[in-house]
Amino acid sequence: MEPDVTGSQQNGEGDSEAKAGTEDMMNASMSTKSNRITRLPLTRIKNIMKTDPDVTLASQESVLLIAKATEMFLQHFAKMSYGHTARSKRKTIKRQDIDLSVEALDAYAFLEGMLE
Amino acid sequence: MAERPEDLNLPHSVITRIMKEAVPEGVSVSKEARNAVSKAASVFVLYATSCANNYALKGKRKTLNAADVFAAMKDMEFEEFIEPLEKSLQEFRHEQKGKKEASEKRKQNRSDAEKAEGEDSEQNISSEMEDSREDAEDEEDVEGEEGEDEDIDEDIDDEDDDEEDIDDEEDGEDVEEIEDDGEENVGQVEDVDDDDVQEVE
Repeated sequence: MEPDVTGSQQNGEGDSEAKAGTEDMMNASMSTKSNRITRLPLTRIKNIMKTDPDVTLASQESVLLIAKATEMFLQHFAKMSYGHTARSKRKTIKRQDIDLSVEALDAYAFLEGMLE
Repeated sequence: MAERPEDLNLPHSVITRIMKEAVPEGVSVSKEARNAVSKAASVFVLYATSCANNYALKGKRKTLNAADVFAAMKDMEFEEFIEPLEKSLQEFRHEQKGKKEASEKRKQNRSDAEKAEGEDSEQNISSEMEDSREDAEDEEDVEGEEGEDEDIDEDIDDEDDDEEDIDDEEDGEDVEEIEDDGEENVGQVEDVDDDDVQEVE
């Protein structure tokens, strides 16, 4: 287990690396290259999907694709939000930047009111 | 920190890492922003699942498949995701194929070794049966279905995706056993740490 550390980028990555090591072990069996397809844990994605009572079964491929799409969404969301951050001449993305993104994009309409 | 198995949030550290890589270096993310984005990601999964499921139901299928997800992306106005997703799908199918071939090769080597030992035919048959069962268990990515297919050397229809029963704990759960185990550990590590690790403004 990682010892307590002060919040810093390096430690954040250290923590991630510990996880990445574990994930790499898991994914080594899935992939011959070191780049796995997505960094999001497929089981967790699957568990979220399971909460939909209308969903019976989901193929492995569909779980993977939704995971990958979620990763892409995160990148997209971060970029959009950062646009507001930069405009305010800040270097830290804040909640207000997130909220502005949700309001600004049609594609993000599904998030309205969901983030409280 | 108590770890509930039904934690529907994605790991905070992974979320932060993905976000940071999408923005210029030196930009950080407040804890509140990170939490909001994390929640948004879970909502995205639900929304995508629901949209995709509509297509499955339309096609009178009980299993969500890749095509359903692509159709959902279009509905959700994330059409730009489709092309990269198709690439990922190809990669995944390629990996799965490699796994299957590796597994068949192992089986082949095993039966070759047995023949070399010159055991009597009766013994060989029971050994092969054991191998089949082992392979069915070893097939970490699919439920018994594919294991059986391998035993009788059928071509797996790649279009018919491997099914996961996401309803209850059946073989489908075992299917992702390895990821589950890894994730449990992952969860423990990062649940304890992530709040400390996150940058706060």
